This record gives sequence, C-alpha cells and structure tokens, in this order.
Amino acid sequence: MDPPSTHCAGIRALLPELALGIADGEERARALEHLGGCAECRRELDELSAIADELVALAPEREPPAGFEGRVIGRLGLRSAPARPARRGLRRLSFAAAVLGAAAVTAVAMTASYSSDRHLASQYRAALEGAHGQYFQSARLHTVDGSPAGTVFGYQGSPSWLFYTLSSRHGSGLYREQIVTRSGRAVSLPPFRLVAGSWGIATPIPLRDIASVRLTRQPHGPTLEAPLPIVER
Amino acid sequence: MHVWALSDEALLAGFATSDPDAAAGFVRRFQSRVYGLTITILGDAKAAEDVAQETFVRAWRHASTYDARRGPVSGWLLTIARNLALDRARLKGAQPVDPDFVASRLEQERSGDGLDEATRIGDRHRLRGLLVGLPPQQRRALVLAVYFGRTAKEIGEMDGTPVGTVKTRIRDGLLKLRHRLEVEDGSA
Repeated sequence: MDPPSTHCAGIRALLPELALGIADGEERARALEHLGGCAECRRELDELSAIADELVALAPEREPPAGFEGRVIGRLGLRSAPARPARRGLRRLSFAAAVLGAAAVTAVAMTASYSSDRHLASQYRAALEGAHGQYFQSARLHTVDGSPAGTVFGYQGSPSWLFYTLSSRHGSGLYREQIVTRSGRAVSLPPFRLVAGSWGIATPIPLRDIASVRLTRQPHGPTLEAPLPIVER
Repeated sequence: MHVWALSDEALLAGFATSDPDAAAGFVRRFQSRVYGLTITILGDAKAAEDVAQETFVRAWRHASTYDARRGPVSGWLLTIARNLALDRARLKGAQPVDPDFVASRLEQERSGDGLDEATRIGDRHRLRGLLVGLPPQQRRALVLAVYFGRTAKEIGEMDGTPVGTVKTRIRDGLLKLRHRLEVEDGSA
C-alpha cells in the first residue's frame, strides 16, 4: 500500500477534473474511494469545487424572453393548485405568512403599547383572522452572557412559524437552529445561512409547546437563546 | 415586507412552499443568471429558455435537497442549470458555441453587470479578471470544461493535443485561479 502522502498526491491530480464534473468513470471511482477516508483531500475538493461553481456563475447575465416568469409559474401550476404537502414533516415559512406576520407583529407591538387603542387591536384581530391564526408573540434573543442579540417572533397558526431578526453583530453566517419543547425534548431544524439579518421557518411543533429556541452560529458559536413565554388562551 | 428584502435562502424556502409570490420573486431574482448560463451553453434561444424553465421546476421539486453548508443558493441553482443544459446539448448532438467567443464575452462583461449587488460584482469581476489573465490554452481548456462539459480526452481530440497535456492545462489553470484568489484575499 502506498504511503498516504504518495496516494494523496496521485488523487489530488484528479481533483480538478472531479471538481469540474468532467472526470472519466474510472478516475472518478478511484478518487471517490479515496475521498471517503481522507478529510484533507475532501477539503481540497471542496475548495476546487467552490471555484468551479464560481466559474459557472461567470456566464454573462441575460434576461429571458418576455413572459418567462409567467411560463415558469404556469408549469408549476402555482396559480391554481394548492400548496404541496409537507416534506419530512416540516413546512418552511410561507411567504404570504411572512408578509402577514410582519404586519401583524407590528400590530402586536403597537397594541402592547397602546392597549386601549381599539383600532390597533382591531388590526391585530383582522391579521390573525386573515391567516386563521391564534396569536403572535415575540421574545428577546440573548447570548449566553446575557447580551441582547435580536428578536424571535412566533406565530401560532397553520403552519406555526418562527421569524428571527438578529442585530448587525450577528447578522450573517451559517446557523444551526434548535427548538426545546416544554417537555424538555430538543428538536434540530435544518441549518440556514443568515444573510440580511433575518430568517423565518415553519415549525412542526406548535408554538405553545415550545419552551425556548436556540441558534448556534457555525462552526464555533456563539449560541443565542430565547425562552418563549407561555400564552394563556 | 417585500420579496427583494428576503435572503436567497428565505426566498427559496418560500418557493418550496409553493407560495406564488415567493415563486415569482425567486424566478425574477435568478432568471437572468439562469438564462444567461443556458444560452451560453446552448446558443439557441428556444432550447435555452426551455432548459431555464426546467431548471426552476427542478429547483422547486428538489428545494429540500439544498444545503446551505455546501454553498449559496445561486451556485446550487446554476449547477442544476448547467447539468440540464449539458444533457440537452449531448442529446441534440449540438455543436458547442466557440469557447474563444465565450471567453471574449466574459472579458467584455468586466465592465458590465450594472444590476448586480456590490459584493457579487466584486467577486465575479475579480474571478473573471483572473480567468481572462490565464494563458490562452489554459483558459480555453477551462472554458470547454466548465461551459461545455468537455472531458480532457474530448478537448484533446478537438485541439489535436495529447490528453495528458490537456489535463495539465486544466489542473494548472484551476490551481492558478485558486492561488491568485488566496493571494488577493490575503492582501485585502
């Protein structure tokens, strides 16, 4: 058997073609077999693949013929068809819910400050009724040392969802999201990449059963957490 | 909230729920990049639009396979578009667009892209400049591999060059790009 460094050197010569998706079958199989057990070569392949992706993205942008967007939407049948069933028991944030939620969250905040204002309360009720929702709530996100890091908004409806806004200090990067239920169970949701300081996702767990949410920036933290208050209905 | 205020990932998540507004926003955000790539590869407007449409259909069907750890949404989507376009080109036995023409288009784009956001402009222009600055044979080999899916053997047959030489050009070209990107990042 070759010493690892010699073997790696032979495989690495193949990695550029593998990254570009043009390696022939035999070479590809040989490289993949090695990559399964060599983290260094996998890292090398990841780096080259990232450059290959960027090269693909260099193609000059060009607007498609007029009506393209409508033809795509038509092929998907989205104007008339109902939403598809959830995958893996998880439905992500509906954009319509996000729009409604943003308006309703504003109404919630204003209603809290001016509880006597019937007009605002009416707006809140109308927003909930429009989405067949039950309530909205919000909680502050904190780092482990108690520093404020942002806000999580929750919506109890169908589906229920969580929407995060993070302060600029935490406003980008890859995050792992975890929900802790009131029975103490921890449920991990798919990781997401925060770009513009906000992120929303539908949750398979009813809001009333969520004790807290945790966001952990990858790979080394920090972890942000917010306990959700119990809402009496 | 407006769709343009959403991150690419959030918009993809909305697209996956079949929300028409999110779907329209997603298509609008990426259509010029997807169509630009498919027409670069195929050179035929009708086929390019058909493949671009199919790209969005595939993205909708397979949105749950997107993994943010593997890279940005645009890279994931353009990889789908590239693979579909290359399949279509192979199926039709289409002659690829002249790679030297593509390379020249890339060079002309250096001062274009007025609609891109600042970061993407910066990154793309930097890499485009580095690609254009490669020795012509390395650049040609990379363009044929990236945009036309040509293997080293196929490029060698096209150019009458030994396959080992083509492999070296591809490898040297890609490693040179990475090295220069690292050097620029280090000196930034």
